Amino acid sequence: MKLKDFSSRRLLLLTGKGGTGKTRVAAALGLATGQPGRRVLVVEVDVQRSALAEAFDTEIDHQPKQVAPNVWAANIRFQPALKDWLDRTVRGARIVGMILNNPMLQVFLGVTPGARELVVLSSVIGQLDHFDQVIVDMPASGHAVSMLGIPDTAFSLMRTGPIHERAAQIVSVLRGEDTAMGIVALPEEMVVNETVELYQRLGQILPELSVPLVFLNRCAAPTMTDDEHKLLARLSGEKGLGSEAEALLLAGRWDAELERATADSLGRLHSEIGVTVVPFPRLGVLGGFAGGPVKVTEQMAGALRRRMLTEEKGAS
Amino acid sequence: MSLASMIAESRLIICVGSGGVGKTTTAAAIGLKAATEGRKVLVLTIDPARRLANSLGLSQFGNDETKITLESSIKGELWAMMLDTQSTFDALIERVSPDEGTRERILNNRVYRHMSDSFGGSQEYMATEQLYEVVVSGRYDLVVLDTPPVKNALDFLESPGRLVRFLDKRILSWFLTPYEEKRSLSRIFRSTSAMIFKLLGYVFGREFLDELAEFLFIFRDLYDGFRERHEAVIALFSKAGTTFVVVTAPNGPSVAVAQYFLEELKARTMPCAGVLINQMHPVFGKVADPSLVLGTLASTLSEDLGPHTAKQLLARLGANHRRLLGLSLAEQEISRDLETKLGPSQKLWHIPRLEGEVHDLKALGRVLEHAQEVNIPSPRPTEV
Repeated sequence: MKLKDFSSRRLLLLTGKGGTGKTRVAAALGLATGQPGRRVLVVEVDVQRSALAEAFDTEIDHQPKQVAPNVWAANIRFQPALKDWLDRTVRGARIVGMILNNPMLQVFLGVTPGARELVVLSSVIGQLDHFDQVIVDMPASGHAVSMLGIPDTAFSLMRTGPIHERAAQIVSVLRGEDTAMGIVALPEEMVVNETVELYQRLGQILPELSVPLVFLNRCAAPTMTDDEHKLLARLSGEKGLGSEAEALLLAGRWDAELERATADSLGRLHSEIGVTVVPFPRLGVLGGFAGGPVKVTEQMAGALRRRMLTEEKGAS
Repeated sequence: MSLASMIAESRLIICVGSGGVGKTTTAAAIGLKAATEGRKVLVLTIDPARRLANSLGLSQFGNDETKITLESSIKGELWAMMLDTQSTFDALIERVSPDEGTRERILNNRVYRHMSDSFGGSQEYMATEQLYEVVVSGRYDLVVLDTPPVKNALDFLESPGRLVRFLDKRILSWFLTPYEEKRSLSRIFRSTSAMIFKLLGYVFGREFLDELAEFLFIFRDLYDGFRERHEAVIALFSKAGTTFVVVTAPNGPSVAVAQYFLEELKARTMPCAGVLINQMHPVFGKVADPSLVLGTLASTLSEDLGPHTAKQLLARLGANHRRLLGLSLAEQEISRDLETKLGPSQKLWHIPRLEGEVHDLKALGRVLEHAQEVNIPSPRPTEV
């Protein structure tokens, strides 16, 4: 699937191994797709410390906050989401108030299997009523799979009542044609292993959820010629070159290794799971990069926009 | 405590940190090092993603304690185990059920069956359960725990509590009273709790509540056992011989999580040896001019290669070197910032990023070889 078609869906879910840069890809996607007439919300799901706050370099809380023209960001928290949930499912302010003010009920909801996750997920999906697109920075791999399985569980466990109905709605949105999931990965063998496993598990557990794209972060395009590789190997084989030369050669080997790992990873993702891979060039150190963290997010958004433009030209 | 003495003396090492920082690899490397020194070690992982198997060079291993084949010169033993929440949970039910009937009723209850998938924290609870069992069994000199990469750092220490709270007698009796009354059909509910129960029935569906009530009803008698075990685990965490190690990578988000862990462990008075920064780029020397340093040699060695090979490669080496130098300086700065967050006896270690990936025992053995304790200048900032 083309990036342009992926990013035209209304609900985008992003997951992947921890440390691959999910949050920043979510933020960059938001910047790349937000435009006049298209209000985009980027959300985190009930995290203790907002990582979107770093990507947009501003404080992020439950209430959507505008972070760029046509782009908003939020960290959906359980307590306010519970109020949204009750307003939606239980008619009557008196009853909502009663539930919110009853400590026993709070404990009950806090500890009932899956209730917390379901309430938060419901609030995330409810944002589709207010925004044209919602991009979700999901928890890491396995945790995202469990979270997405909860509405199904609730649907079968609770056979009547408003939760049953809401769970049914959430399940149908997740399986619908306007939802897609992207996996964020890195060009490293173990990360690719985990990406392939995650993709296969998603196929088993949520076969109707569309997972057409992998975003491969921090890539190096293969620009080194075979002759350069040969020369680098010969130079590296020389003894007693001194520390300056060693440092230069080590830097060269790192880069050669990254080029090789990028090519391997792209090849494996194509052949083992057959998804479209959207590569991002490496940009620098998170948080320590010239221009600050927002600059990195913007550069990644720029890479996404260019790819979508190329796709359009290719199509016409 | 130095890294060497931590590995030689601890009975339980718990690796915590955010995802993607090499926590599993570090746990495995610590285990291998201890085994190399003659200890009998178990590395326990909760991660279903086979990262531990990957770093040990295995395709996978199961939920039983598996012995890893090491070089014959190594006197110690390295064992590994992946935790399976459902089977651990089932084994627990087996153990604590007073009779066959109770056991069958729990195992067949739909709430119970969904609990291990959908109950956030049950994984962590079962991890501590299993951990307790292997540590007190005395079968190992050292147990190394690789914790799950939870974004909510607190979960690991809190979740067992959450499960225990779920089974708290007061909540149970509040919740179960109407259930029991309904079973006996003794009276019409008039109390507030009965009203709320009705409301819950409306929200969750009566059928679910009945099933949940049945589940809790059976579990009620097990509560004391759960609570005692949880308290014992927490006591085990704070005991001598137990050490937490915060693992991180040299980037902003991972270090923020590491700091959070330091604060949380301190607040809970849990013993923490310090922070290990993985994947540090080597300190690259000053910016060198590649044609001055390597120019002559490169042209000699490239006579049989394409005409611009030497020039192209030298330009590339220079550009990469500048980029990596920048990266490594930024990492050093992140590290210095972290130094100021450490307690007086806590250490900071750097582990350099290796060339190539770690997916066999040989590479794993090299991980800690270059670990470096950072010399933190005194006087250390006083703790706030």
